[in-house]
Amino acid sequence: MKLIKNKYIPRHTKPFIAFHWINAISFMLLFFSGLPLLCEGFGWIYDYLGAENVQTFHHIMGVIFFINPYLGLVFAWKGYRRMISEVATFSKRDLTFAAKFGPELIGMEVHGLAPQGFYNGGEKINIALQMIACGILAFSGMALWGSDYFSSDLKPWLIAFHSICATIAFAASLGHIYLAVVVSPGSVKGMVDGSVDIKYAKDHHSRWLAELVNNGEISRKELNDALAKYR
Amino acid sequence: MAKEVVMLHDVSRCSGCRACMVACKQWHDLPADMSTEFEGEYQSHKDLTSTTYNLVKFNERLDSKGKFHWDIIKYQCMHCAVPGCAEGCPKHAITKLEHGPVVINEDLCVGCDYCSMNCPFGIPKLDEKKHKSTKCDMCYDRISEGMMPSCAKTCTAQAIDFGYKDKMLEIANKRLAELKAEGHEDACLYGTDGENLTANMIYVLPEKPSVYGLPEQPKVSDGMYLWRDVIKPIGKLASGGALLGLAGMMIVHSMVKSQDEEKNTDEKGDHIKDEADKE
Repeated sequence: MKLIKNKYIPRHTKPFIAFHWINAISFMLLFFSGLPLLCEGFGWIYDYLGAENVQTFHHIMGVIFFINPYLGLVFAWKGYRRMISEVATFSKRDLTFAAKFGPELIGMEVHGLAPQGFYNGGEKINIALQMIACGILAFSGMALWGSDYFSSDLKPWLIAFHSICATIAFAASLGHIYLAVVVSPGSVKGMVDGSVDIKYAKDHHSRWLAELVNNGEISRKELNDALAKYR
Repeated sequence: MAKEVVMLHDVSRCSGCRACMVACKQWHDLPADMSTEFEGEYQSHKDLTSTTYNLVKFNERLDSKGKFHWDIIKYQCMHCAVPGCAEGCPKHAITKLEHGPVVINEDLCVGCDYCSMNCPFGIPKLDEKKHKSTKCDMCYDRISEGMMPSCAKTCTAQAIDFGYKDKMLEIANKRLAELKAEGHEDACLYGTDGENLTANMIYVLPEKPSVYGLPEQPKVSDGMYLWRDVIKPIGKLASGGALLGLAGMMIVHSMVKSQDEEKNTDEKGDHIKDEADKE
């Protein structure tokens, strides 16, 4: 692996970026097309577009949302493996990071934060939460759609689980967007063209950089030369 | 309070002529429903449909002595005292009228089908063309004009009756006593305990409810109440709170950052250098 323009370091692969954005966009469209049934204040979505049209749209988006993780599993296997192994190795260090991180949310610098790997503690929590919520959403949604095949006692519970997971996933995604765009804008490029600024990587994911150097994927000289530009 | 009305179906008197089905279709101007294939049974449709609000079921059964029985019952909306359909309707399109009928307001209905899922009997059916839920409305329009529901009006065997609560309960209790006297040990009332109503549609049954495919203990799911009373309000609070909270944080964030920039424009460069060296 080489640095791009001696400055940027590849973080996410193209298929993984596609997986992320299909998931993100279909989720938001699903959330707002389902919202009129959860929140009276959003009834106007049905009024303007027609309830049946919005419900059909919700079904179509639901299929995309359901299939996308499986496509990701095949085509973005590398990023997937990373994601799962990072979440699986959630440790006390990640917890300490997430607990201490608070003041950074409002732009204050926290000193003495433990250096973080490819994903930091907060990201790991977000990934785990979204995996569970999206999993329940996808399966309860499909079950509700084909509800003739399920026991009638189950259906009201499916509606309940579907709604609570939608809410949790939405609130979490708001936090995710805020952290990306406002708190660490350097990360956004990683989900656009796949590479991040070397200084951003140094500040936020130094254990990942160390890991790349140890594996010989980038040389220490290359890294130091790139970082030197910021001095 | 308006006086409560009750529809009574005495199953022991029903001859299965299906005149009530025809009368229902006629009054509600519903087309014939040819969706069920003929499978050698007397029952016309497998279940209620969006154009069949009232179905005479012909359950076939062999009793313990090997004797064949036809358990005939007029199947329709129970007009429950606490209707799960109305309680869980996200658009508040279903109303329990003061005098008993449970009625869907088509103008408010968005066709989400939650009512069918929340109904312990699965009664409401979605009309694909109109994209509205449909079910028996107890001919509330006829009632308000002082008429009987069309099915009760047309019944040839006096199996369907309609009237004020006290009168109907009196008839139901009398018929039940007659059935017991005739030796129908399992005879019972459904939708009432003989005094209080759990539904404004009540049955006199010669056998246990399960024989007619009716749940012994119909109950509105706790899942619906969890959704309505806990998840809906919390969901609104959480989503709204997250939006407001983040907007607030964003403002504070920009203030803190601009302060920082003024303070340490020079220091910052050194700080990064130190960190890099440490590594």
